Amino acid sequence: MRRLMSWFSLHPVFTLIVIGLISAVATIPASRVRIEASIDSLMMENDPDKAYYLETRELFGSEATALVYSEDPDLFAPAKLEALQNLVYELENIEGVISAESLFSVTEITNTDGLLDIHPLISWIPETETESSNLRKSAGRHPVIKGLLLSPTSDATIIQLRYETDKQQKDALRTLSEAIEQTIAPYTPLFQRLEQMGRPYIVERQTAYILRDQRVVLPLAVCVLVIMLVLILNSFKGAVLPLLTSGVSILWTLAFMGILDLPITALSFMVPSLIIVIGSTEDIHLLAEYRSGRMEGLRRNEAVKRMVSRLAIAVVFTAATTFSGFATIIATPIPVLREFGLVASFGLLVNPIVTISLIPACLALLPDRSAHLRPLRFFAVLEARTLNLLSATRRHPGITLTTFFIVCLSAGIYGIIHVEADNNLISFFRPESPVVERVDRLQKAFSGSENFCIRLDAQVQGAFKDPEVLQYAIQLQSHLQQQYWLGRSISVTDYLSYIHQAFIDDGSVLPDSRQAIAEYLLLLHHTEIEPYVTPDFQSLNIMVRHNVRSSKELMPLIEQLREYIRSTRPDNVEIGITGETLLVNKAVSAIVRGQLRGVLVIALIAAISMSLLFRSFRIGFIGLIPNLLPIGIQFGIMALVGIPLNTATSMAAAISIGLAVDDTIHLLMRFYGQSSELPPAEAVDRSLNHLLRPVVATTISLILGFYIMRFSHFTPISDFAFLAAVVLTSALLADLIITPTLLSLPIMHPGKRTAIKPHKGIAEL
Amino acid sequence: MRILPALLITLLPIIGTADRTAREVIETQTSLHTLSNETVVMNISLLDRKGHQEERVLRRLDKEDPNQLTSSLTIFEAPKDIKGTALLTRENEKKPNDQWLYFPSQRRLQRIAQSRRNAYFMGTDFTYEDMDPEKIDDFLYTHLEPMNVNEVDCYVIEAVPANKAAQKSSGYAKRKLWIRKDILFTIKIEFFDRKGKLLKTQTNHELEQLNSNTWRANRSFMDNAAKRHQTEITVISRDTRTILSDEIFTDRHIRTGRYMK
Repeated sequence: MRRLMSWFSLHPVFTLIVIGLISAVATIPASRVRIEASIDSLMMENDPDKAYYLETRELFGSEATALVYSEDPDLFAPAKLEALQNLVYELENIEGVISAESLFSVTEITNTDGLLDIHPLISWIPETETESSNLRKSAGRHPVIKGLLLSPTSDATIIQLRYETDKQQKDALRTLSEAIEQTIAPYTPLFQRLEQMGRPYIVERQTAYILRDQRVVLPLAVCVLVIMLVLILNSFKGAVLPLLTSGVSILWTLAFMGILDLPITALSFMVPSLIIVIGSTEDIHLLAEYRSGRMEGLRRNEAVKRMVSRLAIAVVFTAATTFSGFATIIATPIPVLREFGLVASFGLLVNPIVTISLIPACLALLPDRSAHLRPLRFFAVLEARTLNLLSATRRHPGITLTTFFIVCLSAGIYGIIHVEADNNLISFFRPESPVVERVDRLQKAFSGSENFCIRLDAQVQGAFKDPEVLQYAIQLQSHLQQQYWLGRSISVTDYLSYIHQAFIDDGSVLPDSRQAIAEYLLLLHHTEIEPYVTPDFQSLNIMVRHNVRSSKELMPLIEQLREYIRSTRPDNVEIGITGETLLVNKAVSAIVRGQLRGVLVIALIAAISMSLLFRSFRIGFIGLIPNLLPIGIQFGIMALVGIPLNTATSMAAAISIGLAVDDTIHLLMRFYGQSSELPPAEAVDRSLNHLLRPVVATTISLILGFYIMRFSHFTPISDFAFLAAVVLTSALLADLIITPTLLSLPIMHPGKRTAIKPHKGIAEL
Repeated sequence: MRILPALLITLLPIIGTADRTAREVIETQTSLHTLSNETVVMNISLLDRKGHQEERVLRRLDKEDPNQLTSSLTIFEAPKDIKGTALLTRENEKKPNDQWLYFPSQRRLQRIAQSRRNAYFMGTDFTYEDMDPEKIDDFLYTHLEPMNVNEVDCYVIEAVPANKAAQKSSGYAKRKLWIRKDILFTIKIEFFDRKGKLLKTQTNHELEQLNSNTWRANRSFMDNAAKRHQTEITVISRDTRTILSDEIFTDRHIRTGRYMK
């Protein structure tokens, strides 16, 4: 490795040309990378629940629909209805839309004075106010659409679009949402409110916000990072080089994604941050070492040589540790997480390669005034005072360690008790975002915006024409109706009951003979009841609308419902509850568990890595302790502030440990490199003195960079940025206080008989 | 009312086909293919977009009275759970047809409103309007460019509702009919909604000549593009010789269950 880095420093022009050429070529596949906010990729592969859901979707169609919400006090006025009808017509013609359920697709059945009348609810647009008023009344009375397509107050309606998207077309939902938006735009001024909702809209917004964050928030964060590094390090090169290596690594990673057709997802979106945070620490350490050599009077090539000989091993070990940690995620059964693992580990693999080639080459080539650089007086004073303060903390290692352990442990325990995994796709958006406002409006007018399905499977065909079996579905729907969290349920029983009451208004809900049910069904076109019963009447679907968005709240309620079903279901009917949201919730819990397990794997790899590097398990595992402490702080803060564990926030811990391990390895290497010549206390002081500036500069700059990311349109990204700042701060404190304090303990520097024989690269430090 | 078609039939060989107005073609066609008594047993096959198929068998009895007004009785023979369900229709000259639905489970005839002409007939892709005889006065007919379909010359006639009332009662803003010039039999109909979008296409196949002028299709196929659903009607048997008594088309005949014998 040292030879390789030296070679790069000796052939800087060639190195830069090769990197430049690779980067230029990389822009081609990198430009092909698309953004995907797919729901399917969040579901676990080979999950029996997913198979059940897909089977249900095949039988009845998806419960996830696109919605157009229209609200107006004069909704039934002729002009409004005509506009609505034209809108429905245009929406039906959008590519991918297979049907539109609206006031115009509803059948009305009346029986007046012995004359049965079955006709479309709106056969013709009313022409007078009286006709409008009558239509409004009859629509308001319609039991099938009330609360489902028409609000109880009859001033809001939903056009529900069922769609089938081309699985090959990755942006299908986004394209569909854009087409819906374009279609409704000319009609918007005609209604008090006309807006799109539903899965395609949410996916489209998610993608748009990712793009906006990428174009605005991320570059702004990087700018702040550069400015801060320039200010603190008093060196433009020192600030720009880490970002140059990160930038090149990100470009290569994007090219890798483009070649493998891996999209930018809600998870892989964070890989650039990961590369900048973890990657730039290595660069800063290399640059600090180089600068130190130059300030000691070494010539440029000598300073590069010393930098290479001292840090090559550390770079390899730290890179191998973080790479291995993220590579373990690849084995997950969740596509979105697996892709993240692949992209993150690739990024963390190429970053050190770029670092060891680009940094020596640039240092050998670029103008250099490091030898004359002196820190700004303010920072020099601050640095000296900080070192004194840190030194003071080591005077009473027992107190320092105990205090720190108690704080971290208490925070960790408090966090573990109070922090819960919670997935809420809507809460990903800021409360003031149009998405949340629209969902709130929909929820208010229609007592729910979320759906799931209850599927009933009988053992024989035609079972759901049997009144006894149907009676159970009615009992179940009646139970659902009594639950506070459920808005409205609908199944074929609602249609049958509606027809029955038109024929025989004796208070009974259904006829008592199978023959009568079959006869009623003749009055319906199968496409009307297609979402609720299979053509062979062996499976029935109850579509349930509810108002619980949080997975933390929803899952126990679903479990209660399952319990009710288990205790009441007929022997010959199998019943399952399924839905996209339920599967995503399950997958997100698995993602969070996977991320946290990943942290433990990274920790274990870090401990083994340090053990190998220092040829001592004791150092490996004791050295790990300061790296685990920030995680405790993170969980404590999450509990205090009320941040849930989700796909984004659970990643902060992984970054924390990746970052902390880097600094710990550098500190330990420097300490053990000097411990043979100096007393432990002095070796610690020297090591800290050397590392303080680069570590503090990086951390403060990154914290400010992440502060900018707080302005992301996504709550999880914003929360992640906040937590990353928390983690960076606590990792810094752990590295500056705990690691040096541990190093000052006799256990970490045994006598001659048990002297640690670190890897030969360390001896040169 | 029926004099003009009769006259046209007589003059058919004399009048050049090109000179006939679209309305005349329709009027002539209506006269040519009407039978006094007809009993057809047919299989109805419903096919949804996922390929699920459902079969029904029904018997239809039609009788034309001396005033050339038709009464018809449609009876479901299979499947078992809808066997005996019947629909009785009586054509009226000056007012909408009368229609009654009989569900065996309820043992009573339920009178049904005619406003449902654009509702689907018993779960098929044919509406009541599609099944009823053509109401010529309710439509305006125009010749479109004639076409040759499978080496047979056809008139292509566009039918649009003639007035607001007809517009309201019809489920279609326009129909395009392909009528064979040689036998004046419709082999294809396209149905359009008020925005000009194609809703359904009906094609008639396996034509059979019943007498010198009268033809029937033994297979009809309705492709409902709007609902992505299809209906195929296949004639199992046809009887045009048996004279149907008027009593068959009475509620008493149905209520007493004799219609099933």
